[in-house]
Amino acid sequence: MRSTEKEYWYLVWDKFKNGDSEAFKTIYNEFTDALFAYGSKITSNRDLLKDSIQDLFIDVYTYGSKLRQPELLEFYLFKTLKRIIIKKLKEDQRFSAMNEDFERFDLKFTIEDEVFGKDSEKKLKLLQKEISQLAPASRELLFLKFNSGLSYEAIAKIVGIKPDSAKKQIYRIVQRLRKDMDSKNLELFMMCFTA
Amino acid sequence: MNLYYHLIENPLFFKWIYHPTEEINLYWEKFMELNPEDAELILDFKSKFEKHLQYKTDGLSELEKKILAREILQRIELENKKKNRFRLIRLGMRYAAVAIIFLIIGTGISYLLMVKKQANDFVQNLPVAPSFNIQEPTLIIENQPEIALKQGESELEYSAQGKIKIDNDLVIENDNENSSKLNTLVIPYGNRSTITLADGTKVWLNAGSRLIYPSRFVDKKREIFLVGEAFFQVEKDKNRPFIVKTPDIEVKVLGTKFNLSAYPEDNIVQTVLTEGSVEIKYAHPGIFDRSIQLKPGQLASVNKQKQSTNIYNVDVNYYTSWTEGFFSFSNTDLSRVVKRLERYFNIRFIYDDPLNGSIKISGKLDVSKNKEEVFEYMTKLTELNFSKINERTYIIK
Repeated sequence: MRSTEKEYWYLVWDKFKNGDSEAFKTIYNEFTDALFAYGSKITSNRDLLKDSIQDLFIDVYTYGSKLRQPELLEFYLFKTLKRIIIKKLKEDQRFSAMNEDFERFDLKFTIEDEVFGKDSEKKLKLLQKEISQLAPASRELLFLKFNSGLSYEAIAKIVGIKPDSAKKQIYRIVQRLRKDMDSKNLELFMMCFTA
Repeated sequence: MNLYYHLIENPLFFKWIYHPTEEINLYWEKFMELNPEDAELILDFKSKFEKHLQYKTDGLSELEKKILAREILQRIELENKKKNRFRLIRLGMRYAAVAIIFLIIGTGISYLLMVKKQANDFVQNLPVAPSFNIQEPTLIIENQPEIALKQGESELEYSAQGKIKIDNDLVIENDNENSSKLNTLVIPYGNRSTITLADGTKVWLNAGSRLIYPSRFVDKKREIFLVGEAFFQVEKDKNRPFIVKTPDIEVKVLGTKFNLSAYPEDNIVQTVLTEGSVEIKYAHPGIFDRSIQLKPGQLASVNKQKQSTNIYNVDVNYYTSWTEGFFSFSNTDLSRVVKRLERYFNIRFIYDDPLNGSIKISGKLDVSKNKEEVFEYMTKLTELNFSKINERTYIIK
Protein backbone atom coordinates (compact mmCIF):
# COMPACT_ATOMS: atom_id res chain seq x y z
CA MET A 1 0.00 0.00 0.00
CA ARG A 2 1.37 3.34 -1.01
CA SER A 3 1.64 5.94 1.73
CA THR A 4 -1.10 8.21 0.43
CA GLU A 5 -3.41 5.26 0.13
CA LYS A 6 -2.50 4.25 3.65
CA GLU A 7 -3.39 7.67 4.98
CA TYR A 8 -6.60 7.55 3.05
CA TRP A 9 -7.69 4.28 4.63
CA TYR A 10 -6.72 5.52 8.08
CA LEU A 11 -9.13 8.37 7.52
CA VAL A 12 -11.90 6.18 6.13
CA TRP A 13 -11.46 3.70 8.93
CA ASP A 14 -11.58 6.39 11.59
CA LYS A 15 -14.78 7.77 10.13
CA PHE A 16 -16.36 4.35 9.83
CA LYS A 17 -15.69 3.57 13.48
CA ASN A 18 -17.50 6.76 14.39
CA GLY A 19 -20.55 5.65 12.50
CA ASP A 20 -20.05 7.66 9.32
CA SER A 21 -22.22 6.02 6.66
CA GLU A 22 -20.20 7.50 3.81
CA ALA A 23 -17.12 5.79 5.18
CA PHE A 24 -19.05 2.57 5.35
CA LYS A 25 -20.05 2.97 1.71
CA THR A 26 -16.44 3.52 0.72
CA ILE A 27 -15.33 0.33 2.44
CA TYR A 28 -18.38 -1.54 1.20
CA ASN A 29 -17.89 -0.52 -2.42
CA GLU A 30 -14.23 -1.30 -2.31
CA PHE A 31 -14.46 -4.81 -0.93
CA THR A 32 -17.94 -6.29 -1.23
CA ASP A 33 -17.62 -7.76 -4.72
CA ALA A 34 -14.36 -9.47 -3.88
CA LEU A 35 -15.68 -10.67 -0.53
CA PHE A 36 -18.81 -12.04 -2.16
CA ALA A 37 -16.78 -13.78 -4.83
CA TYR A 38 -14.53 -15.24 -2.15
CA GLY A 39 -17.48 -16.38 -0.06
CA SER A 40 -19.18 -17.94 -3.05
CA LYS A 41 -16.21 -20.26 -3.32
CA ILE A 42 -16.83 -21.52 0.18
CA THR A 43 -20.61 -21.85 0.00
CA SER A 44 -23.05 -21.85 -2.87
CA ASN A 45 -25.82 -20.68 -0.57
CA ARG A 46 -26.33 -17.05 -1.60
CA ASP A 47 -28.66 -16.18 1.25
CA LEU A 48 -26.24 -17.53 3.79
CA LEU A 49 -23.50 -15.58 2.11
CA LYS A 50 -25.44 -12.32 2.10
CA ASP A 51 -26.25 -12.82 5.77
CA SER A 52 -22.58 -13.48 6.44
CA ILE A 53 -21.56 -10.26 4.73
CA GLN A 54 -24.09 -8.38 6.83
CA ASP A 55 -22.74 -9.99 9.96
CA LEU A 56 -19.22 -9.23 8.81
CA PHE A 57 -19.80 -5.50 8.61
CA ILE A 58 -21.67 -5.48 11.91
CA ASP A 59 -18.82 -7.45 13.43
CA VAL A 60 -16.24 -5.08 11.98
CA TYR A 61 -18.23 -2.12 13.16
CA THR A 62 -18.75 -3.50 16.66
CA TYR A 63 -15.36 -5.02 17.34
CA GLY A 64 -13.32 -3.19 14.74
CA SER A 65 -11.83 -0.76 17.25
CA LYS A 66 -9.41 -3.56 18.03
CA LEU A 67 -8.04 -3.13 14.55
CA ARG A 68 -5.16 -0.76 15.18
CA GLN A 69 -3.68 -0.96 11.70
CA PRO A 70 -6.21 -0.11 9.03
CA GLU A 71 -3.76 -1.28 6.39
CA LEU A 72 -4.73 -4.74 7.58
CA LEU A 73 -8.40 -4.01 6.95
CA GLU A 74 -8.59 -6.16 3.84
CA PHE A 75 -6.97 -9.08 5.61
CA TYR A 76 -9.30 -8.61 8.56
CA LEU A 77 -12.36 -8.61 6.27
CA PHE A 78 -11.45 -11.78 4.40
CA LYS A 79 -10.43 -13.64 7.51
CA THR A 80 -13.52 -12.62 9.46
CA LEU A 81 -15.84 -13.44 6.56
CA LYS A 82 -14.37 -16.91 6.30
CA ARG A 83 -14.86 -17.44 10.02
CA ILE A 84 -18.48 -16.25 9.89
CA ILE A 85 -19.37 -18.40 6.88
CA ILE A 86 -17.87 -21.49 8.44
CA LYS A 87 -19.70 -20.81 11.67
CA LYS A 88 -22.98 -20.45 9.81
CA LEU A 89 -22.34 -23.59 7.79
CA LYS A 90 -21.70 -25.46 10.99
CA GLU A 91 -24.95 -24.23 12.48
CA ASP A 92 -26.84 -24.98 9.30
CA GLN A 93 -25.62 -28.43 8.63
CA ARG A 94 -24.95 -29.51 12.18
CA PHE A 95 -21.39 -30.46 11.39
CA SER A 96 -20.67 -32.94 14.06
CA ALA A 97 -16.99 -33.42 13.47
CA MET A 98 -15.48 -30.45 11.73
CA ASN A 99 -11.96 -30.68 10.63
CA GLU A 100 -9.72 -27.88 9.64
CA ASP A 101 -9.36 -28.70 6.00
CA PHE A 102 -12.98 -29.06 5.09
CA GLU A 103 -13.09 -26.05 2.77
CA ARG A 104 -13.27 -27.37 -0.68
CA PHE A 105 -12.71 -24.00 -2.29
CA ASP A 106 -14.19 -24.98 -5.52
CA LEU A 107 -12.27 -22.70 -7.82
CA LYS A 108 -13.26 -23.41 -11.37
CA PHE A 109 -10.87 -22.23 -13.98
CA THR A 110 -12.07 -22.49 -17.51
CA ILE A 111 -9.39 -23.43 -19.87
CA GLU A 112 -10.65 -22.88 -23.36
CA ASP A 113 -10.05 -25.32 -26.12
CA GLU A 114 -8.24 -23.33 -28.67
CA VAL A 115 -5.67 -24.09 -31.23
CA PHE A 116 -2.31 -23.20 -29.83
CA GLY A 117 1.14 -23.39 -31.21
CA LYS A 118 2.78 -26.62 -30.15
CA ASP A 119 4.88 -25.08 -27.48
CA SER A 120 2.22 -23.09 -25.75
CA GLU A 121 -0.23 -25.93 -26.12
CA LYS A 122 2.04 -28.11 -24.11
CA LYS A 123 2.48 -25.49 -21.44
CA LEU A 124 -1.23 -24.90 -21.13
CA LYS A 125 -1.91 -28.60 -20.89
CA LEU A 126 0.48 -28.65 -18.00
CA LEU A 127 -1.29 -25.71 -16.44
CA GLN A 128 -4.63 -27.36 -16.88
CA LYS A 129 -3.36 -30.52 -15.30
CA GLU A 130 -1.76 -28.66 -12.49
CA ILE A 131 -4.87 -26.69 -11.63
CA SER A 132 -7.09 -29.72 -11.72
CA GLN A 133 -4.79 -31.42 -9.25
CA LEU A 134 -4.49 -28.51 -6.86
CA ALA A 135 -5.55 -29.00 -3.28
CA PRO A 136 -8.47 -26.83 -2.09
CA ALA A 137 -6.09 -24.72 -0.05
CA SER A 138 -4.02 -23.96 -3.14
CA ARG A 139 -7.08 -22.97 -5.10
CA GLU A 140 -8.10 -20.67 -2.28
CA LEU A 141 -4.63 -19.23 -2.31
CA LEU A 142 -4.76 -18.45 -6.03
CA PHE A 143 -8.15 -16.94 -5.64
CA LEU A 144 -6.99 -14.59 -2.90
CA LYS A 145 -3.93 -13.62 -4.85
CA PHE A 146 -5.97 -12.73 -7.92
CA ASN A 147 -8.79 -11.02 -6.10
CA SER A 148 -7.21 -9.03 -3.34
CA GLY A 149 -4.27 -6.87 -2.60
CA LEU A 150 -3.24 -9.11 0.26
CA SER A 151 0.35 -9.91 1.00
CA TYR A 152 1.63 -13.49 0.85
CA GLU A 153 1.83 -13.45 4.59
CA ALA A 154 -1.80 -12.42 4.95
CA ILE A 155 -2.99 -14.91 2.36
CA ALA A 156 -1.05 -17.69 4.04
CA LYS A 157 -2.65 -16.78 7.37
CA ILE A 158 -6.16 -16.91 5.94
CA VAL A 159 -5.61 -20.16 4.11
CA GLY A 160 -3.56 -21.64 6.93
CA ILE A 161 -0.33 -22.46 5.14
CA LYS A 162 3.28 -21.26 5.23
CA PRO A 163 3.98 -17.93 3.51
CA ASP A 164 6.82 -19.55 1.58
CA SER A 165 4.65 -22.14 0.00
CA ALA A 166 2.05 -19.51 -0.85
CA LYS A 167 4.59 -17.67 -2.93
CA LYS A 168 5.92 -20.82 -4.53
CA GLN A 169 2.55 -21.99 -5.67
CA ILE A 170 1.58 -18.65 -7.14
CA TYR A 171 4.78 -18.52 -9.11
CA ARG A 172 4.37 -22.02 -10.39
CA ILE A 173 1.05 -21.14 -11.95
CA VAL A 174 2.19 -17.80 -13.24
CA GLN A 175 5.16 -19.55 -14.75
CA ARG A 176 2.92 -21.47 -17.11
CA LEU A 177 1.49 -18.30 -18.49
CA ARG A 178 4.80 -16.68 -19.30
CA LYS A 179 5.90 -16.05 -22.80
CA ASP A 180 8.59 -18.31 -24.21
CA MET A 181 9.71 -19.95 -21.08
CA ASP A 182 11.34 -23.32 -21.23
CA SER A 183 11.63 -25.79 -18.43
CA LYS A 184 15.23 -24.95 -17.67
CA ASN A 185 14.37 -21.41 -16.93
CA LEU A 186 11.57 -22.52 -14.72
CA GLU A 187 13.90 -23.76 -12.04
CA LEU A 188 15.92 -20.61 -12.16
CA PHE A 189 12.79 -18.59 -12.03
CA MET A 190 11.53 -20.48 -9.04
CA MET A 191 14.78 -20.04 -7.22
CA CYS A 192 14.72 -16.33 -7.74
CA PHE A 193 11.49 -15.89 -5.92
CA THR A 194 11.40 -18.60 -3.37
CA ALA A 195 14.79 -18.02 -1.91
CA MET B 1 12.00 -11.43 -15.67
CA ASN B 2 11.70 -8.55 -13.31
CA LEU B 3 8.69 -7.33 -15.14
CA TYR B 4 6.71 -10.49 -14.40
CA TYR B 5 7.74 -10.16 -10.82
CA HIS B 6 6.54 -6.59 -10.70
CA LEU B 7 3.29 -7.43 -12.35
CA ILE B 8 2.25 -10.20 -10.03
CA GLU B 9 3.34 -8.27 -7.01
CA ASN B 10 1.25 -5.30 -8.02
CA PRO B 11 -2.30 -5.82 -6.76
CA LEU B 12 -3.48 -3.40 -9.41
CA PHE B 13 -2.44 -5.90 -12.07
CA PHE B 14 -4.93 -8.52 -10.94
CA LYS B 15 -7.49 -5.86 -10.27
CA TRP B 16 -7.08 -4.80 -13.87
CA ILE B 17 -7.84 -8.36 -14.98
CA TYR B 18 -10.53 -9.42 -12.54
CA HIS B 19 -12.14 -6.22 -11.30
CA PRO B 20 -11.37 -3.50 -13.82
CA THR B 21 -12.55 0.05 -13.31
CA GLU B 22 -11.99 3.11 -15.44
CA GLU B 23 -9.38 4.32 -13.01
CA ILE B 24 -7.40 1.12 -13.21
CA ASN B 25 -7.62 0.93 -16.98
CA LEU B 26 -6.28 4.47 -17.07
CA TYR B 27 -3.48 3.58 -14.69
CA TRP B 28 -2.27 0.77 -16.95
CA GLU B 29 -2.67 2.81 -20.09
CA LYS B 30 -0.44 5.39 -18.52
CA PHE B 31 1.95 2.73 -17.35
CA MET B 32 2.33 1.29 -20.84
CA GLU B 33 2.64 4.72 -22.33
CA LEU B 34 5.57 5.35 -20.05
CA ASN B 35 7.07 1.91 -20.67
CA PRO B 36 6.24 1.19 -24.31
CA GLU B 37 8.89 -1.54 -24.56
CA ASP B 38 6.97 -3.61 -22.00
CA ALA B 39 3.49 -3.02 -23.36
CA GLU B 40 3.36 -6.10 -25.56
CA LEU B 41 4.48 -8.41 -22.83
CA ILE B 42 2.07 -6.94 -20.30
CA LEU B 43 -0.89 -7.27 -22.64
CA ASP B 44 0.08 -10.82 -23.55
CA PHE B 45 0.41 -11.78 -19.90
CA LYS B 46 -2.93 -10.19 -19.09
CA SER B 47 -4.74 -11.87 -21.96
CA LYS B 48 -3.45 -15.24 -20.84
CA PHE B 49 -4.97 -14.78 -17.43
CA GLU B 50 -8.19 -13.69 -19.04
CA LYS B 51 -8.25 -16.63 -21.38
CA HIS B 52 -7.14 -19.39 -19.11
CA LEU B 53 -7.70 -18.40 -15.54
CA GLN B 54 -11.19 -17.04 -15.52
CA TYR B 55 -13.38 -18.38 -12.79
CA LYS B 56 -17.13 -18.32 -12.77
CA THR B 57 -19.06 -16.56 -10.05
CA ASP B 58 -22.60 -15.39 -9.73
CA GLY B 59 -21.74 -12.02 -8.30
CA LEU B 60 -24.09 -9.66 -6.60
CA SER B 61 -26.25 -7.60 -8.92
CA GLU B 62 -26.18 -3.84 -8.42
CA LEU B 63 -29.63 -4.04 -6.87
CA GLU B 64 -28.68 -6.83 -4.49
CA LYS B 65 -25.63 -4.86 -3.52
CA LYS B 66 -27.69 -1.79 -2.74
CA ILE B 67 -30.23 -3.74 -0.73
CA LEU B 68 -27.49 -5.47 1.21
CA ALA B 69 -25.82 -2.14 1.95
CA ARG B 70 -29.07 -0.67 3.18
CA GLU B 71 -29.67 -3.62 5.45
CA ILE B 72 -26.22 -3.29 6.92
CA LEU B 73 -26.66 0.44 7.51
CA GLN B 74 -29.95 -0.23 9.26
CA ARG B 75 -28.30 -2.76 11.52
CA ILE B 76 -25.43 -0.37 12.23
CA GLU B 77 -27.96 2.26 13.19
CA LEU B 78 -29.56 -0.26 15.50
CA GLU B 79 -26.15 -1.01 17.02
CA ASN B 80 -25.66 2.70 17.59
CA LYS B 81 -28.97 3.00 19.36
CA LYS B 82 -28.07 0.04 21.51
CA LYS B 83 -24.75 1.61 22.41
CA ASN B 84 -26.47 4.79 23.49
CA ARG B 85 -28.88 3.21 25.87
CA PHE B 86 -27.14 3.08 29.17
CA ARG B 87 -26.22 0.39 31.59
CA LEU B 88 -29.74 0.11 32.88
CA ILE B 89 -30.78 -1.41 29.59
CA ARG B 90 -27.74 -3.64 29.64
CA LEU B 91 -28.77 -4.86 33.05
CA GLY B 92 -32.26 -5.38 31.72
CA MET B 93 -30.90 -7.30 28.83
CA ARG B 94 -28.94 -9.46 31.17
CA TYR B 95 -32.16 -10.31 32.95
CA ALA B 96 -33.73 -11.00 29.60
CA ALA B 97 -30.87 -13.31 28.78
CA VAL B 98 -31.41 -15.17 32.03
CA ALA B 99 -35.08 -15.38 31.20
CA ILE B 100 -34.27 -16.78 27.80
CA ILE B 101 -32.07 -19.42 29.37
CA PHE B 102 -34.92 -20.41 31.60
CA LEU B 103 -37.13 -20.56 28.57
CA ILE B 104 -34.72 -22.86 26.87
CA ILE B 105 -34.34 -25.08 29.92
CA GLY B 106 -38.03 -25.47 30.28
CA THR B 107 -38.77 -25.96 26.63
CA GLY B 108 -41.89 -27.93 27.28
CA ILE B 109 -43.26 -25.43 29.74
CA SER B 110 -42.28 -22.40 27.76
CA TYR B 111 -43.73 -23.90 24.65
CA LEU B 112 -47.03 -24.25 26.41
CA LEU B 113 -46.86 -20.70 27.66
CA MET B 114 -46.30 -19.62 24.11
CA VAL B 115 -49.20 -21.68 22.91
CA LYS B 116 -51.31 -20.22 25.65
CA LYS B 117 -50.42 -16.72 24.64
CA GLN B 118 -51.16 -17.43 21.03
CA ALA B 119 -54.19 -19.57 21.38
CA ASN B 120 -55.77 -17.44 24.06
CA ASP B 121 -57.85 -15.60 21.54
CA PHE B 122 -60.06 -18.53 20.89
CA VAL B 123 -59.66 -20.52 24.03
CA GLN B 124 -60.24 -19.31 27.53
CA ASN B 125 -58.86 -22.25 29.41
CA LEU B 126 -55.91 -24.16 28.19
CA PRO B 127 -56.26 -27.94 28.25
CA VAL B 128 -54.14 -30.15 30.40
CA ALA B 129 -50.56 -29.88 29.27
CA PRO B 130 -49.95 -32.27 26.43
CA SER B 131 -46.60 -33.93 26.73
CA PHE B 132 -44.22 -32.86 24.03
CA ASN B 133 -42.15 -35.94 24.33
CA ILE B 134 -44.86 -37.76 22.48
CA GLN B 135 -43.26 -40.19 20.04
CA GLU B 136 -46.45 -41.60 18.50
CA PRO B 137 -49.10 -39.78 16.48
CA THR B 138 -51.56 -38.62 19.10
CA LEU B 139 -54.78 -36.65 19.32
CA ILE B 140 -55.42 -34.80 22.55
CA ILE B 141 -58.87 -33.42 23.15
CA GLU B 142 -59.37 -31.02 25.98
CA ASN B 143 -60.19 -32.81 29.24
CA GLN B 144 -60.09 -36.24 27.65
CA PRO B 145 -57.59 -39.07 27.61
CA GLU B 146 -55.09 -39.06 24.79
CA ILE B 147 -56.00 -40.98 21.66
CA ALA B 148 -53.22 -42.91 19.93
CA LEU B 149 -53.39 -42.70 16.17
CA LYS B 150 -52.15 -45.02 13.46
CA GLN B 151 -48.45 -44.92 12.63
CA GLY B 152 -47.50 -43.48 9.27
CA GLU B 153 -50.44 -41.82 7.56
CA SER B 154 -53.52 -41.02 9.60
CA GLU B 155 -56.74 -39.30 8.67
CA LEU B 156 -59.08 -37.20 10.80
CA GLU B 157 -62.42 -35.76 9.83
CA TYR B 158 -64.50 -33.30 11.86
CA SER B 159 -68.14 -32.80 11.04
CA ALA B 160 -69.84 -29.42 11.31
CA GLN B 161 -71.34 -30.65 14.58
CA GLY B 162 -67.94 -31.56 15.97
CA LYS B 163 -68.06 -35.34 15.49
CA ILE B 164 -64.67 -36.86 14.82
CA LYS B 165 -64.02 -39.70 12.37
CA ILE B 166 -60.59 -41.27 12.67
CA ASP B 167 -59.26 -43.28 9.73
CA ASN B 168 -62.81 -43.61 8.43
CA ASP B 169 -64.20 -45.67 11.30
CA LEU B 170 -63.83 -44.61 14.91
CA VAL B 171 -66.29 -41.87 15.68
CA ILE B 172 -66.09 -39.63 18.69
CA GLU B 173 -69.33 -37.88 19.53
CA ASN B 174 -69.36 -34.35 20.79
CA ASP B 175 -71.37 -34.51 24.04
CA ASN B 176 -72.62 -30.94 23.74
CA GLU B 177 -73.46 -29.68 20.30
CA ASN B 178 -72.92 -26.05 21.20
CA SER B 179 -69.53 -26.47 22.76
CA SER B 180 -66.18 -26.36 21.08
CA LYS B 181 -63.21 -28.19 22.46
CA LEU B 182 -59.57 -27.56 21.84
CA ASN B 183 -57.83 -30.35 19.92
CA THR B 184 -54.09 -30.85 19.79
CA LEU B 185 -52.78 -33.12 17.09
CA VAL B 186 -49.18 -34.26 17.52
CA ILE B 187 -47.56 -35.86 14.47
CA PRO B 188 -43.94 -36.84 15.23
CA TYR B 189 -41.20 -37.26 12.63
CA GLY B 190 -41.79 -40.17 10.31
CA ASN B 191 -45.57 -39.68 10.30
CA ARG B 192 -48.11 -37.59 8.44
CA SER B 193 -51.77 -36.77 8.82
CA THR B 194 -54.67 -35.32 6.86
CA ILE B 195 -57.31 -33.41 8.79
CA THR B 196 -60.65 -32.11 7.60
CA LEU B 197 -61.67 -29.39 10.02
CA ALA B 198 -65.26 -28.67 11.05
CA ASP B 199 -65.58 -25.87 8.48
CA GLY B 200 -64.50 -28.16 5.61
CA THR B 201 -60.92 -26.83 5.47
CA LYS B 202 -58.46 -29.58 4.65
CA VAL B 203 -55.03 -29.67 6.28
CA TRP B 204 -52.11 -31.92 5.34
CA LEU B 205 -49.87 -32.04 8.39
CA ASN B 206 -46.27 -32.92 7.70
CA ALA B 207 -43.84 -34.88 9.89
CA GLY B 208 -42.68 -33.33 13.15
CA SER B 209 -45.65 -30.96 13.44
CA ARG B 210 -48.37 -30.00 15.88
CA LEU B 211 -51.71 -28.46 15.07
CA ILE B 212 -54.01 -26.93 17.66
CA TYR B 213 -57.57 -26.19 16.60
CA PRO B 214 -61.12 -26.15 17.96
CA SER B 215 -63.45 -29.04 17.22
CA ARG B 216 -65.90 -26.46 15.88
CA PHE B 217 -65.34 -22.87 14.85
CA VAL B 218 -67.68 -20.78 16.97
CA ASP B 219 -65.92 -17.41 16.86
CA LYS B 220 -65.96 -14.69 14.21
CA LYS B 221 -62.51 -15.76 13.22
CA ARG B 222 -61.32 -19.25 12.41
CA GLU B 223 -58.03 -19.47 14.29
CA ILE B 224 -55.66 -22.38 14.52
CA PHE B 225 -52.08 -22.76 15.74
CA LEU B 226 -49.29 -24.54 13.89
CA VAL B 227 -45.78 -25.64 14.75
CA GLY B 228 -44.07 -27.41 11.86
CA GLU B 229 -45.31 -27.72 8.30
CA ALA B 230 -48.76 -27.99 6.78
CA PHE B 231 -50.54 -27.46 3.50
CA PHE B 232 -53.92 -25.78 3.80
CA GLN B 233 -56.89 -25.91 1.49
CA VAL B 234 -59.11 -23.38 3.21
CA GLU B 235 -62.87 -23.45 2.77
CA LYS B 236 -64.21 -20.07 1.62
CA ASP B 237 -66.07 -18.07 4.21
CA LYS B 238 -66.05 -14.35 3.55
CA ASN B 239 -67.39 -13.50 6.97
CA ARG B 240 -64.95 -15.57 8.99
CA PRO B 241 -61.31 -15.16 8.04
CA PHE B 242 -59.09 -18.18 8.58
CA ILE B 243 -55.96 -17.40 10.56
CA VAL B 244 -53.00 -19.72 11.02
CA LYS B 245 -50.76 -18.65 13.87
CA THR B 246 -47.18 -19.72 14.38
CA PRO B 247 -44.74 -18.49 17.02
CA ASP B 248 -43.33 -15.99 14.51
CA ILE B 249 -45.96 -15.12 11.96
CA GLU B 250 -49.68 -15.10 11.35
CA VAL B 251 -51.21 -15.94 8.00
CA LYS B 252 -54.70 -14.60 7.35
CA VAL B 253 -56.79 -15.93 4.46
CA LEU B 254 -60.35 -16.03 3.25
CA GLY B 255 -60.32 -19.08 1.00
CA THR B 256 -57.18 -20.37 -0.63
CA LYS B 257 -54.51 -23.04 -0.88
CA PHE B 258 -51.11 -22.50 0.68
CA ASN B 259 -48.19 -24.25 2.35
CA LEU B 260 -46.74 -23.04 5.62
CA SER B 261 -43.46 -24.32 7.00
CA ALA B 262 -42.66 -23.13 10.52
CA TYR B 263 -40.39 -25.66 12.18
CA PRO B 264 -38.97 -24.38 15.47
CA GLU B 265 -35.46 -25.52 14.50
CA ASP B 266 -35.50 -23.60 11.20
CA ASN B 267 -34.42 -20.01 11.14
CA ILE B 268 -36.91 -19.16 8.43
CA VAL B 269 -40.67 -19.48 8.17
CA GLN B 270 -41.83 -20.11 4.62
CA THR B 271 -45.27 -19.43 3.23
CA VAL B 272 -46.01 -20.52 -0.34
CA LEU B 273 -49.25 -19.57 -2.01
CA THR B 274 -50.85 -21.89 -4.57
CA GLU B 275 -54.18 -20.17 -5.06
CA GLY B 276 -56.08 -17.09 -3.89
CA SER B 277 -54.40 -14.59 -1.63
CA VAL B 278 -52.97 -14.48 1.87
CA GLU B 279 -51.86 -11.79 4.26
CA ILE B 280 -48.84 -12.38 6.45
CA LYS B 281 -47.84 -10.44 9.51
CA TYR B 282 -45.34 -10.91 12.29
CA ALA B 283 -46.70 -12.42 15.48
CA HIS B 284 -45.16 -9.55 17.42
CA PRO B 285 -45.05 -6.69 14.95
CA GLY B 286 -43.05 -3.53 15.44
CA ILE B 287 -44.56 -0.15 14.72
CA PHE B 288 -43.31 -0.06 11.17
CA ASP B 289 -44.05 -3.66 10.27
CA ARG B 290 -46.78 -3.82 7.71
CA SER B 291 -48.49 -6.96 6.63
CA ILE B 292 -47.37 -8.70 3.44
CA GLN B 293 -49.71 -9.73 0.64
CA LEU B 294 -48.74 -12.78 -1.36
CA LYS B 295 -49.75 -13.59 -4.92
CA PRO B 296 -50.13 -17.15 -6.21
CA GLY B 297 -46.76 -18.64 -7.07
CA GLN B 298 -44.93 -16.53 -4.51
CA LEU B 299 -42.93 -17.58 -1.50
CA ALA B 300 -42.53 -15.38 1.56
CA SER B 301 -39.47 -16.27 3.55
CA VAL B 302 -39.46 -14.71 7.01
CA ASN B 303 -36.19 -14.61 8.89
CA LYS B 304 -37.05 -15.12 12.55
CA GLN B 305 -34.01 -13.46 14.04
CA LYS B 306 -33.94 -10.40 11.87
CA GLN B 307 -37.68 -10.15 11.39
CA SER B 308 -37.09 -9.50 7.73
CA THR B 309 -39.00 -10.97 4.81
CA ASN B 310 -38.01 -11.83 1.27
CA ILE B 311 -40.51 -12.59 -1.47
CA TYR B 312 -39.58 -14.95 -4.29
CA ASN B 313 -41.41 -16.29 -7.32
CA VAL B 314 -41.20 -20.06 -7.11
CA ASP B 315 -42.46 -23.30 -8.56
CA VAL B 316 -45.10 -24.13 -5.95
CA ASN B 317 -44.96 -27.84 -6.73
CA TYR B 318 -41.63 -28.02 -5.04
CA TYR B 319 -43.19 -26.88 -1.78
CA THR B 320 -46.46 -28.78 -1.92
CA SER B 321 -45.62 -32.09 -3.59
CA TRP B 322 -44.99 -33.72 -0.19
CA THR B 323 -48.77 -33.90 0.26
CA GLU B 324 -48.86 -36.33 -2.69
CA GLY B 325 -46.04 -38.50 -1.40
CA PHE B 326 -43.14 -37.16 -3.41
CA PHE B 327 -40.57 -34.40 -3.13
CA SER B 328 -39.59 -32.41 -6.17
CA PHE B 329 -36.40 -30.44 -6.39
CA SER B 330 -34.82 -28.16 -8.89
CA ASN B 331 -31.24 -27.16 -8.37
CA THR B 332 -31.65 -27.58 -4.63
CA ASP B 333 -28.85 -28.01 -2.11
CA LEU B 334 -28.52 -31.60 -0.96
CA SER B 335 -28.54 -30.37 2.65
CA ARG B 336 -32.11 -29.11 2.25
CA VAL B 337 -33.26 -32.35 0.69
CA VAL B 338 -31.57 -34.31 3.44
CA LYS B 339 -33.26 -32.21 6.11
CA ARG B 340 -36.65 -32.98 4.62
CA LEU B 341 -35.83 -36.68 4.40
CA GLU B 342 -34.76 -36.65 8.05
CA ARG B 343 -38.14 -35.32 9.07
CA TYR B 344 -40.05 -37.55 6.73
CA PHE B 345 -38.43 -40.78 7.87
CA ASN B 346 -37.52 -39.72 11.40
CA ILE B 347 -33.85 -40.46 10.98
CA ARG B 348 -30.58 -38.56 11.11
CA PHE B 349 -27.94 -38.14 8.49
CA ILE B 350 -24.27 -37.57 9.13
CA TYR B 351 -22.10 -36.18 6.40
CA ASP B 352 -18.78 -37.83 5.85
CA ASP B 353 -17.78 -34.67 4.01
CA PRO B 354 -20.03 -31.82 5.14
CA LEU B 355 -19.36 -29.86 1.99
CA ASN B 356 -21.32 -32.44 0.04
CA GLY B 357 -24.33 -30.70 1.51
CA SER B 358 -23.97 -28.02 -1.11
CA ILE B 359 -24.26 -30.40 -4.06
CA LYS B 360 -27.17 -29.30 -6.25
CA ILE B 361 -29.77 -31.85 -7.17
CA SER B 362 -32.86 -31.79 -9.34
CA GLY B 363 -35.62 -34.32 -9.79
CA LYS B 364 -38.57 -36.03 -8.21
CA LEU B 365 -38.31 -38.36 -5.26
CA ASP B 366 -41.09 -40.85 -4.55
CA VAL B 367 -41.06 -40.93 -0.75
CA SER B 368 -44.06 -43.21 -0.48
CA LYS B 369 -41.66 -46.11 -1.01
CA ASN B 370 -39.56 -47.46 1.84
CA LYS B 371 -36.47 -45.57 2.86
CA GLU B 372 -33.96 -48.01 1.40
CA GLU B 373 -35.49 -47.58 -2.04
CA VAL B 374 -35.52 -43.83 -1.64
CA PHE B 375 -31.86 -43.75 -0.60
CA GLU B 376 -30.95 -46.02 -3.48
CA TYR B 377 -32.47 -43.46 -5.79
CA MET B 378 -30.64 -40.67 -3.97
CA THR B 379 -27.40 -42.56 -4.51
CA LYS B 380 -28.05 -42.59 -8.25
CA LEU B 381 -28.87 -38.92 -8.21
CA THR B 382 -25.87 -37.75 -6.19
CA GLU B 383 -23.30 -40.50 -6.66
CA LEU B 384 -22.95 -40.51 -2.89
CA ASN B 385 -23.55 -43.51 -0.67
CA PHE B 386 -26.37 -43.38 1.85
CA SER B 387 -25.47 -46.16 4.22
CA LYS B 388 -27.00 -47.24 7.48
CA ILE B 389 -25.08 -46.95 10.75
CA ASN B 390 -27.97 -47.92 12.97
CA GLU B 391 -31.76 -47.90 12.95
CA ARG B 392 -31.97 -44.12 13.11
CA THR B 393 -28.68 -42.94 11.71
CA TYR B 394 -27.34 -42.91 8.19
CA ILE B 395 -24.07 -41.66 6.79
CA ILE B 396 -23.62 -39.87 3.46
CA LYS B 397 -20.32 -40.72 1.83
